[in-house]
Amino acid sequence: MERLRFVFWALLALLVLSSGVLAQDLREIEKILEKIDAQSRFDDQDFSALMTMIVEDPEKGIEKMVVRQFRRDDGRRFLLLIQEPSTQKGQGYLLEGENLWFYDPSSRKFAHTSLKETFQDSDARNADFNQWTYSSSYQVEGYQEDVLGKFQVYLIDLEAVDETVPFPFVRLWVTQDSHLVLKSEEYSLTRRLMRSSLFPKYAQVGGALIPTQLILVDELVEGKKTQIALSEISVSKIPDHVFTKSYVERVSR
Amino acid sequence: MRILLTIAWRNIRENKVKTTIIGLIMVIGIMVLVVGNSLMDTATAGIERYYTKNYTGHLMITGSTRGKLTLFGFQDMTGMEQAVPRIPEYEEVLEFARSLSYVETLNPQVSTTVMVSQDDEILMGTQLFGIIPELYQEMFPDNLELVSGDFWDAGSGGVLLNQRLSDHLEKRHQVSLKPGDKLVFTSVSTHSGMKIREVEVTGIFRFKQSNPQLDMLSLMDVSNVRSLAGMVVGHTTAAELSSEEQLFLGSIDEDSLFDTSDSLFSELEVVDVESDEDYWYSLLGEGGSLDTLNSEDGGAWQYLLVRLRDEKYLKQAQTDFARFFRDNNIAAQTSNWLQGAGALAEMSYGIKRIFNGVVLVIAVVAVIIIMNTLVIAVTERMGEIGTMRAIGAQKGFVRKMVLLETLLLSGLSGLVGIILGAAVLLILNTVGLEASNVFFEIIFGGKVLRPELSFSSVVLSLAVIVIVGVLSSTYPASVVMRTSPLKAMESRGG
Repeated sequence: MERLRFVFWALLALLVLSSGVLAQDLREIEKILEKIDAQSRFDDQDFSALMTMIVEDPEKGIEKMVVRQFRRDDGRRFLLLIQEPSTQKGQGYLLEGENLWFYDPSSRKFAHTSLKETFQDSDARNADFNQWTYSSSYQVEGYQEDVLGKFQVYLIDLEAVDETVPFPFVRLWVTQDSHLVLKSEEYSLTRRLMRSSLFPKYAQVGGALIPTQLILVDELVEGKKTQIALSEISVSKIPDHVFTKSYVERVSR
Repeated sequence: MRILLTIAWRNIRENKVKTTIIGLIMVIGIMVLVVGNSLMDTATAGIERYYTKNYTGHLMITGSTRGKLTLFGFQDMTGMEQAVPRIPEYEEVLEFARSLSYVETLNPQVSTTVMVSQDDEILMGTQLFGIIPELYQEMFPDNLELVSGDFWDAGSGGVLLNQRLSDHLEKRHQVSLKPGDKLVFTSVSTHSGMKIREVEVTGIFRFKQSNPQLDMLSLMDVSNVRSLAGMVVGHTTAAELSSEEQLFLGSIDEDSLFDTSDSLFSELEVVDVESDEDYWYSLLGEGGSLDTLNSEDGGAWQYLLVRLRDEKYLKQAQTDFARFFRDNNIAAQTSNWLQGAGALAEMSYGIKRIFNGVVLVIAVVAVIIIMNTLVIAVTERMGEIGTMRAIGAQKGFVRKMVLLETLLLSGLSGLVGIILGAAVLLILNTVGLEASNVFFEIIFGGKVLRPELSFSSVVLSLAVIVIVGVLSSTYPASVVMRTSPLKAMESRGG
């Protein structure tokens, strides 16, 4: 009887201890997510770049898009202006806080769209051009240690707590030392793999560490993927009027 | 033969009770067959008439595709991969169609799906048919009723909004639309990027006969629909890629992508952006060619609907068009009205097949009951037949007598059944069977079904009468023939 009582208390203690350790670990992972968000954010600077998007489609072949990106993370604003192809030239996506507008220069009209929507015919979502918000939009479901290529990584499973994100479940491969996201898998509500994203190149720009090359693989259409490369990166001050509808209208004329 | 007929008629008259019971069963059975089949035939013809007369014509010409293309766009996964193709060499196709003597009218269309918004508020999604009002009304002169306003004037644009949609807007969004109001339409195509058009509502209409799919449909000038569907003059030229851009084409090996930790960071030059105004307003260069590239492709059509002078020319038309496309190397195809009508028409056909199955089961049961009753009636007369054989009647004589008697009875009952069935159908035709819900509306091909006596149901019933008569007399007659006259007479005595 004495022995039995000992085993019971020992098991209970182990359970309490292990849950405490797990909670401690999850808090560590949450801190890593906060760091990921913070190091990809331009807090006191504006950000602009030229994005070259190569869309590979087994049906349509290869298409190239050139998009000018402007970001002001402080006010949660961005502007995407399409330069190429010529049929889409002048189309723009303007984010003003919670509102994302699409501009069509052929009708000179704006229409509401959402961050969840696909960007043109690529595999990117509009949200991909906004600042990362893993720590506030997702909660940690679990994690484990893993290896990706030569990198020791944390494999972190996330569940969305924010309805505005394009994917309700995400799995991240994050380097253990520098906390860079190397890969992510994005899942639907039924946990079907929708997209895999790879981030093979990073660059230090101002105070931020941002991926300069992205490969977005469509997991539903075999052979479809989009690669995005950033160039002409700048952290110079962008005039306030650039993040306005009137600028988008004027620049497209 | 006359003697046989006399004997058969005498037997039928003398066994009044038996004749009445057997006759009644046959009358009901045949009546069920006539009414059931006529109902199904009327509904089938109704759906076909309903669609060919009001929405599809007899034939739909489109660009070649392996997908399931309907007037409402692709109704399978093909829609995710490609846009609805344009009809290549449209002018040539049109000229050929006009040259065919059995072609009555032609109506070209363009179709797309859009979101409707007003004052920055997204209101609903809808399907648009881009049409030329004169050609549309020439092919479908009586399919819609204008609730307010009218079609747009020739040379200008506009949208004729479905009343169901305007009612929906009023109920859900408290938006009361009238001619002259403007709505913003945003295309949701993944193939041509987003397109926006602000279009004036020139009128509100309702289809005289509708279904949930057609309730979602509004009519718009073709020019705006072409732009929304991405049917613009400009097209994307083949992308020229640098060697660096080609690096990640094809399949990707994730491990080799992350095989050295040194390669993760790239040296990028951070540039300074000029601050003068000119720089910011000249980012996209000259926009002069933009409008030209984005202007609608004026000769482009996705569908050419063909109404024939008579449905009997359908096969000939399909053959002629197929030969024309092949000879002229035009990547186009024809589909019949059912393929063009979309999911709901196909669904109603599917449901009808199930109903046909149910009618068939009822018919088989009726036939079995009739045969069984006749078999019992003949075997009951074994003693009588044995006596006839004993006083010199030949096997053939007896067999013919039984056959004639059965055919006479089933023939008379069948005729009464057909007449009664026709009477029931006449009543139903006068009263009209009202569809109590959308499900029956789809099956009936409209709100009311007025069934008519169908020729095929009469032919089928007559065939059943003859087959049942022959089968149900052959078996008992052969049983009787195998029995010796003495044994047969004994059974009468027993």
